[in-house]
Amino acid sequence: MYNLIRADLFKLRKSMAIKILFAITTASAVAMVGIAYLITHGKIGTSMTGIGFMFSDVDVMGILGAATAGIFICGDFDTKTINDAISSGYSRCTVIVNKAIVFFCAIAFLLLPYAITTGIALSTGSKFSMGSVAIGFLNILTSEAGKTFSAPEIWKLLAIMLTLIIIYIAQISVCIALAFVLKKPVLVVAIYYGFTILCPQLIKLRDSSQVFKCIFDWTPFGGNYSFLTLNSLTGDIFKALAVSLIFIIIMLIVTYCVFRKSEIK
Amino acid sequence: MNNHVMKINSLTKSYHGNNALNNVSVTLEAGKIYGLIGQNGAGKSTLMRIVAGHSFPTSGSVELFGHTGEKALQMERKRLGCMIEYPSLTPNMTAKENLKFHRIMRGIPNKEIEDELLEIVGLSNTKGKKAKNFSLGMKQRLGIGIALIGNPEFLILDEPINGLDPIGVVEIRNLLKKLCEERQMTILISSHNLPEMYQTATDYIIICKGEIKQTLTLDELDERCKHHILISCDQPEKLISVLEMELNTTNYTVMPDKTIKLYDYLDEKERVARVIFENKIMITNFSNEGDTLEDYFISIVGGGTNV
Repeated sequence: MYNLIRADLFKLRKSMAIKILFAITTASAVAMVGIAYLITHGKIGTSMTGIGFMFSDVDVMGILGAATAGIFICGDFDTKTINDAISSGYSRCTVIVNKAIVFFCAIAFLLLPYAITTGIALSTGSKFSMGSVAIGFLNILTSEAGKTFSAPEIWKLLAIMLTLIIIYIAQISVCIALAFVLKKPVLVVAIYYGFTILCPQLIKLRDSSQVFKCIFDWTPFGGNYSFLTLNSLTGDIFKALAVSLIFIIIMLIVTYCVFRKSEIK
Repeated sequence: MNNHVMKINSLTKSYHGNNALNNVSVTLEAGKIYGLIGQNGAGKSTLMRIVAGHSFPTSGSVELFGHTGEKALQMERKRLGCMIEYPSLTPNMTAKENLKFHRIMRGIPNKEIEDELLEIVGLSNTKGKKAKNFSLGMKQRLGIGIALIGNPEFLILDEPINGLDPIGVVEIRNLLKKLCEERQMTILISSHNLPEMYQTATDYIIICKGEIKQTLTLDELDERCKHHILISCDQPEKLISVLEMELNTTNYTVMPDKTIKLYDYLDEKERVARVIFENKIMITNFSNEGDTLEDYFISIVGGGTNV
């Protein structure tokens, strides 16, 4: 497993795609913070919130997360890297876990610009707001901007950002199963992006159905996991972490179940 | 001592009710080059894919280095080198980077192996050129190089000489022979180029419509291809009966065009001619011939030349 991870990280380092995706998330993070700043200070109209949200982490990762799965998992079926790993004596379970670890590293790497730009923006003491559409890092930026932070608050903020990255990873782990089943990047991106659009609509059903609420709250898409701020209780952060990690494990088990006996062309 | 590198027992593979492989049994011994010969869709790649773990048999078993069972096979596959259908290449990496990737994946610390393999497969002068810009032949060479990482004991190559220029074909042939002789490497190779296969392989497995039609050594092939009496006549069915009843031989093959190759009585052609004449069969051709692997293959599978 260690060798597979090393090899995939080597490939990731050589990949032009990851560099381009990183450039996109960096530009988007800067744009998100910039628009939030300009709206708050009246330099641009509040009608720009829609555009600003387009650059937010939740929206960008909806596409780029799936694209990353498409490139690094479906792409490995195309280039027969997965075939080669299996014929080199690695079990399918090992291949899945390896792909998941490297994929999660790539997602964390792509989210870094959001964490860094949010941190930098908060450290300026300026006000940032995108109104009611804030979620994820944008929500932290909106909620905590303009405050001065004590040392324990800075640590808590870092813990929240890390938790948020893990929540995103858990959400995007759906793409691992999709990529191993469909093996077509276009389908993975289309289905996952469609799902991320559908999700907020489904969440609204929580109010009318207790069962639905219960199910949804036990996934990283539900609850208030994407709305963590300094006001969140430590228990909420741990619950978010636990739900995310359990969801990741379930996704990996689902992936293993479908890939265990599947034919590799 | 068990000298079997691979043993396949009654292997069947079905896709939606159609048998891609039907009750296939074959054994490969160490230190030989096996040529897997069959038409398109005969089941060559399916067989290789099952051995490599890319596909699962519907029934039957695969044994590698004397071990069977999923867990054991997985361990034994570490001793394999594979290139099935097309090479496993990362397009945006150079030849050396591709080799490095696969070297790391196989946990081989020796970095010098990258340059050695580039030299062996004739790609040492590609330097910064990305694999996506390689010609088909260069990709095949790199694929073979990747398959050789870790000095495998059993090499599986599916159509390795596709796209290679004539010099490349000779180089790869010599390389495979050298690997077999010097390192006792067992090689299972499929190719549509039968003259080339004849020069490379030491043993042949003829597969048709998912069934192994014949396995034979190079000597046996030479023996069967060497000489025969080719007979064309107006009543082939009667001729068969004459051969069996009066000349007491079944050592003949009926070709798709109804000509008959008789492998017995090569030194008694006059007797054969006399018996046929006495039975009032009109002969249109009666000649001493020698087969090629291509002719022999066609005589076995009894079909066209779509190899």
